[in-house]
Parts: sequence; C-alpha cells; structure tokens
Amino acid sequence: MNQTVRAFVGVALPVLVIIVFVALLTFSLLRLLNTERDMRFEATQNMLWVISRAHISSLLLGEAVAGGIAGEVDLAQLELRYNVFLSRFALLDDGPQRRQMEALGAAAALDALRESLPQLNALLKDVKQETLPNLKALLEPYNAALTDAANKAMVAEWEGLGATLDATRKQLWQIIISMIGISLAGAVLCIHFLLAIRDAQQRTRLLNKEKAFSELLIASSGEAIVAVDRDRRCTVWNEAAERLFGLCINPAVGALLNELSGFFAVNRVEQAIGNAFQGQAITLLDQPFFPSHDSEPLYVDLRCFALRDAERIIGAILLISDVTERRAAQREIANHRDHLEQMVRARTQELDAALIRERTTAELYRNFGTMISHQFRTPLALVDSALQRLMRRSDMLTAAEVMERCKEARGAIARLVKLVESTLDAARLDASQIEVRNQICNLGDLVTEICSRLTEDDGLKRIKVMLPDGFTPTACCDPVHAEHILTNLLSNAVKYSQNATPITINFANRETHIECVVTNIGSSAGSFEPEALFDRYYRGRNSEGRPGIGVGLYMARMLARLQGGDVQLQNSDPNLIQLAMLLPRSAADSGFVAAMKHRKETA
Amino acid sequence: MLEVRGAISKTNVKDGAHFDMEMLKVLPVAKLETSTAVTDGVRRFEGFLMRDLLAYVGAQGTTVTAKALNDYTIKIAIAEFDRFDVLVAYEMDGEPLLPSDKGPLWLVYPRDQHVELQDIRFDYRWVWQLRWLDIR
Repeated sequence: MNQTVRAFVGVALPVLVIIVFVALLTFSLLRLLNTERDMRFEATQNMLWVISRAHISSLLLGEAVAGGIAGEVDLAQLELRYNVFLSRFALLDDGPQRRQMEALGAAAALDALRESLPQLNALLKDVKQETLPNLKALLEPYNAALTDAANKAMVAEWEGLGATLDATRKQLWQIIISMIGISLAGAVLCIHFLLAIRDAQQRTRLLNKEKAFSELLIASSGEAIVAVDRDRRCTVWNEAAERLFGLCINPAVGALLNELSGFFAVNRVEQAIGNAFQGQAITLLDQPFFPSHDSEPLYVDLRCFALRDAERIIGAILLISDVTERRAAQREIANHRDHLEQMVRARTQELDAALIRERTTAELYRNFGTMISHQFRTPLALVDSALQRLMRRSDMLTAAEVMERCKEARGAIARLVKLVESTLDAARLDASQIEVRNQICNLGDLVTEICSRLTEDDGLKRIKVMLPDGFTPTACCDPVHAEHILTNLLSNAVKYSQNATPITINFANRETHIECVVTNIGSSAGSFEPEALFDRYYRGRNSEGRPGIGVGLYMARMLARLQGGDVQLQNSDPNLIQLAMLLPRSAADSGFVAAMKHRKETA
Repeated sequence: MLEVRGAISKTNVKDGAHFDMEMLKVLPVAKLETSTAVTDGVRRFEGFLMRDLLAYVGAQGTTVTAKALNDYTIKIAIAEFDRFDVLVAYEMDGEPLLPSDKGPLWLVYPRDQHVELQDIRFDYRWVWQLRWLDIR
C-alpha cells in the first residue's frame, strides 16, 4: 500500500500536474493569440473616415462647380476637385470598402452614382447655371447615402469595438484563471522537485556512505582488486594490488592494463578479461607471476567478473590472490605423500621379497628334505646292508669278499660325504662365505687338465676338447671356482648322457667374455624343465636313479656370477644339451656379462 | 505632377524641384508585388524608390511630409525609406495610375515582404494622389 502511494506521489502526481500545467499553458497561449489577433485593426475598419472623406470630396466638388459658375473657380481647380471626388468614389466602390458599404446598405447609391458618372462628366465639361440643379440632383442622393452610411459605420465600429473589448476581457479573465492554475501547478511541481531534491540528497549521502564503505573494503582487502573499463584502462587499484605488483595507485589508475604488468599481457589472462567483457565469470588457478621487484616467482589465483551498469557491461573486475604459500604447502604435502608412497612401495617390495624368500626357503627345505630322505638314505642303506652281510656271514666270507663288501660300504660312504660337502658348499654360498680371487686364467689349459683327470679317474675317453684356433681363451676369473664349475658341467654331461656318446667342449671368443660350451647328447630316460634347471635342489625326471642333491648347476651359476660371469643353458634339446660357462675377458668386462645375463633373464 | 521642396540641394524652380512624368521616369525603375489594405488580391506596381528620389534631389532633412491632391498630409521619417524599399508607383498591374483613381503617384510599402508593415500605423502612410513632398 505504502509503495503504491509512494509510486503515485513520486510518478503519477507529477506527471498529472505536468499535464495540467501544459494544458493550462497551451490554453493561455491560444487565448493570448486570439487576443493578439483581435487587436489588429484593418484600414477597412476605419470606414467612418473613408466615408467622411468621400462625402467631403463630393461637397467640395459641388462648391467648386458653384464657384466655377460664379467665375471664382478655374477649370483646373474644378478638374482637381472632380478627380478627388472620383478617387474617393473609386475607393468606396472597390475591394473591401465596397463590401463594407454593401454591409452598411449604401451599395445602391454607389451603383446609381456609377451609372450617372457619364452624365456627371458631361455636365462638368460645360458648367452652366441652368445645369446646376441637374448636378445637385446627381450628387444629393450620393451625399445622403454617405451620411447614412457614416452613421451606420460609426455604430457598427463602436459595436464591434465593444464586442472586441468584451471578448478580450473574457479571454483575459480566462488567461488570468489559467495563470492561477499554472501557478498552482508550478507550486506543486516546485514542492515535488524540492522533495525529490531532498530525497536525492539523502540517497546521495547513503550512496556516498556505501561508496566509502566499499572503498574501505577494497582498500583493506587482502586480495588485489583491479577494475578496468572497456578500453582495458585501470579504474580501481587497491593497496593489495600496490603491494603485489609494486605499483602505486597514481600511475596505475588510467593506464592500460598491459602497461602495468606483464602478467596482464599473458594470453590466458587477456582472454579471461575478454571473456569477462562477454559476461562470463572466469577463474584461473595457480597462475605464475614474476614480479619485477622479486626474482622468485609467485603463484596467484585470478577471478574475473563483468562490471555492469544496469544491463550494459562497462568493464571487468579482477580479484587476484597470492597463493604462493598455499601452493608451496600443497607441494610439500604432495612431496611428503610421494615419499610415503615410495616408502610404502619399497616396504611392500621388501615384504614381497621376504615372502618370496620365505616361500623359496620353505620350498628349499621341502626339496632338501625330499633330497635327504632319498639321496642320504640310499648310501646309508648300502652301508648297512654291507655291514649286515659281513656280520651274518663273517665266518663264511673270504678276505676278498670282505674286501669287496667293505669297498661297497666305503663307496657309499664316499658318496655320502660328497653329498654332505655339496650341501655345505651351498650353505657357504648362501652365507657369502666363499671368497673370489680373480686373475687372468687360460681356460684352455684348465679344461685340458680337468679332462685329463677325469679320464684318469674314471677311464672316460669320450670327452673331446676343441681348443680354439687363433686365440687363447683367457678369462678374468678365480681358477679354483672356474675348475669347480667346469667339473660340475662335465660331471653333469657324463651323468645325463648316454653311454659312449661324445661330450665336446668348445670355446668362443665374444666381445666382452669367453664362452666355454659343454655339449652332450641327452639320455632318453626322462626330461627336465629348463627354467628350473638352475634352482637349488631341483632334480629333473632324467635324474632318477642317479646320485646327486640338485645343487651342482645352482652352485656353478652362483660361482660364475660371483666372478662376473654366468652359466647358461644354450640348448635344451634332449638330443643336444649345451651348457655354457661365460667368464669376463677382463675385470672391466665383468659388468657387461652381468648386464647380458640380466637381459637374458628378463627376456 | 510632383513638387519637392524644403531641404533639398537640387532644384529646378525657385523654391523646389518640379517633376513631370517624363522626368520621373529618368529615375531607376523599381517593381513591387504586394497586397494593399484598400484593394483585393496582390497587385503589381511599377515606379521608383522613394530613397532614389530623395537622393536625386539631395534631400538633407530627417522627415518627409507627403501631401495628396485632397490635402491629405502625412509626416514620414526619411530613415524609413532606407529601411524599406518604399515605392512611388505610377503603374498598377501594367496600367498607369490615373488622378481619378489613386494616381498619378501612389506611395506603396512592401507590405507582403515585411510583417511589421501589415499594421494600421503603416496603412495610413500609403498616400495616393501624391502631389507634394516637403523635406525637413
């Protein structure tokens, strides 16, 4: 309700008053125009004077004619009077004067005189006493009509003047009343305008207060606040902006934004401001900023909004917060998290490795147990059997038979001892108790010596050493361990090959290492798994019935690796088994062999 | 036809300058189309400018008293003839003005060309049957 009343007082009332004001003013102006028009007098309104002058000219013509008869007036004077008479008659009988005369009822007299003019003209050419009555008879009706017209003209003019005065008086009163109305409307408008001015002043005061408060907020804001117009000229530059950009407000306000800092010339920032001009709200996070007064880069968050005047966008406002510390904290947290993740990953790997080791160990012990139960029990059973037979038949046995039994028992014990030694070797290897003393060693000589010994010990003659032509197979290795490896490889070749099949040893000179390849033809009984061949305590199906604990190839590979080399299965075809010992050619090449070994395992 | 007397420097008789129609037509011809207060419609006048006549006779006063055949007399400021192209007409609509009408000379104001001349205070200055001019 109050709002409706306020709207009426504020808008409808002044509009209504203005309409009344304009209407009264228009009415007054129209009335004034009427009055002004009524105040104009035309010459025809002066008919009384025109008629009187015509009447006088007529009377003077009569007198001139009388004077002419008496000889007192000459012809020129008479002609002058006659011309004046005709002139006044023509004036009355022409145009507006004629219409006025018609209105005054004197038209007939004028017409009669016009018809009599030839006769009058003839009479005046020859003025005589006898024609004087004729002349008077022509002029008297005209003079009488003019007298009557003069009376009527006087009355009509006075009546007209009175009516005009009445109308003018009436219009003046209307104008006076209108002026009073105009004054009242003007007073109402003045009061309204005074009230509006007072209201506007109050609003201005409130606006100024709000403006001051806004300026205080902008000035005390921790965020840099920058406003720009459509030409990208700075219009607001608060204290935080001064601190951030190192520029005072005086040169900043009014300057182009790009000239204030290179930050505003960055494409993304320019584009964000452009989008703000289109009415979009844009946020750019973690924008790098290189202040001229500080070499350390800062990071800022930029928010752009359109600045509107009603519906029109007049510029943009930019809120810029320094988030360098927050970013540093976030980065530190991220680093810490990465570090923790790495620790967890490493710990997980350690745990996985420990688990694998644990499983391997369990498998190891399981294999060890199986191996012990089988391989150790067999020689013990042989010894026990030999001893029992000796005990039961001690009185019946010859010395040769006793010797044979003892020899069997000792052979079994020797295998047992060998098994125990192998087990201990493996244990020492696990405990890293094996020392390696690398030196330059001729593998050809070493292989030849081992073959000689095997041939002597076991009578084997199927091992063939193929010494290389053109180079000496020297390697950087521990000769004791190299001999151990080669003995192991040759024992395996002998053990897992068919009788009388050849066993060959070849050498190859590689770029970084020397290869010594032992080749044999596999036995037909059973097979083995190549991937498990070098596992400790692994024994393939082809090893059934053959003594051993499954640590030979494991030991060989471990010893080769301790020397910077490796032992590899190059061919697993049962018809052609090739096991190669790789040893570095020099101390510097040991790393290459290890890398090659790693590549091979990965593949 | 027209007698000029008073403060003039050029005379052809003892106390003034007398003109007949032939002498008057020596002056530069001026034409004017205007309505009048005493006739209907627009009329076409031909004659000469009053200021040309005054210059011709070497008028040195400030007022001109115009007098008609019927002794109608009006006093007019000379400055008025400089302000307006006031015509002394001897022809109307191609016909000579006759003494029996408004001739032979009629003082004509350019009424249609100047709104301020459409006033009764100027209407009485249209002296017809003009005969005498007295410069003071």
